[in-house]
Amino acid sequence: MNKHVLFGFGASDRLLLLAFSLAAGLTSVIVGQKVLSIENTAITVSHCQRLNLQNIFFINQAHSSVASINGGYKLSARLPRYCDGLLPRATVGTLESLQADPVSPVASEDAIRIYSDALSAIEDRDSELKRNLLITLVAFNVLALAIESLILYRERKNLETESDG
Amino acid sequence: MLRDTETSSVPARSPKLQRAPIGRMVALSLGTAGVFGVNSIFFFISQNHLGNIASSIENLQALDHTISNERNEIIPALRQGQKLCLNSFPDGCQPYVEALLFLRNRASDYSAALEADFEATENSPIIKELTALSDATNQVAAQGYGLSFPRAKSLGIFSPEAYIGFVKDNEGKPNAAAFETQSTAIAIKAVKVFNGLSDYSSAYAKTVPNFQATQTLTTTLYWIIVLAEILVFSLVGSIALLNTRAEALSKKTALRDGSQ
Repeated sequence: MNKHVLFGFGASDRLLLLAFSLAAGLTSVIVGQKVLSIENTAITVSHCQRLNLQNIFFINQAHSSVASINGGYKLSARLPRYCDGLLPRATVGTLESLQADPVSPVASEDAIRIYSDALSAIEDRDSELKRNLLITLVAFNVLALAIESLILYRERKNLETESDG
Repeated sequence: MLRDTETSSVPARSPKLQRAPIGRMVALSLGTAGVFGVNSIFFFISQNHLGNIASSIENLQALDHTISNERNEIIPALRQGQKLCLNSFPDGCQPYVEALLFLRNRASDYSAALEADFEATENSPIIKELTALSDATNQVAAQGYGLSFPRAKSLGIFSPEAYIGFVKDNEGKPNAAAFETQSTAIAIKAVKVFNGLSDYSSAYAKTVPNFQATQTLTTTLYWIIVLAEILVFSLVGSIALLNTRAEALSKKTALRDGSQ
């Protein structure tokens, strides 16, 4: 195939290509913003995980203390509301069902385990999503540049034609 | 926006280009880019602030847990140790000395932690209480066993076993009555200090900015960034499309004019 036929698009084609290039660029922008949003959520997820980890340390320490031997410890392992906001509704429902005696050792340990699993799942999900989004971002950037290169090629050909004519 | 070539009887090029609001679009895109830039700085600050609030909340929770656990551990250990010690004075005092040393070390640790992470100063009442508690542990040692902790340290005595051994066998002048008075007083003082620590923690918690409010602010700033970036991109893209279209139209007009 003759390359002049392949690349011989007119002004309206050029407009279309430019629109495609801009659309690819815009997609990159939106994907980049989504990655930023995930990073923003990651601050809260890490914070909630650290709070839960401290509850684990507390229980481990309490298990070995005199008070625990003498009659147990009291800990409400429920994390702040903004941590619950990250979790699926079903998980929050399960946590709420522990509210009958929220400071009992059994309820605390259950709550800690549920938080630990749910927050890890969120972290894994976000990590995978971020990885996919970053690949998409690179792909759309390359696509936008590739289309741009076609436009530049055509412009160069036009300049050459005009100077020859 | 540009219109098509329906006004072809008039020399089309310049009026059409003038009609396109490119200047306003450029001004708007520059303005939006400015908003984006300023907002990005605020977003960055807000995100750091959110991280700092998260750290403060975590530190507070760690302090609360430590207070709760150690209150439940040290106070019973002091009371049980006192009983054992009085039952067999000073031979049975090793558990008490262990608890007393633990309390002394923890008082110093709490002072350091409160000064480092919770904005306490040397003049804060809680730091003074902790210092007084640490001094009181020394009074128990000095008056109850006749050997203060600094002197024990200077004699190279570093363990509770060695301390009790020295008190029993050497120059220590153990005094059961003084021990009973001082150890009862320090148990009461320790309870007060732990209550003071809990109160300090609760008071400090009230000074920590609201995490959720800062999170909402950060999210709002994030959305402004998103919208500003999309707007700038759309504006610049529209300008590029308009210019390309205008160029094509002017070429068409030029060709038509040439053929006529």
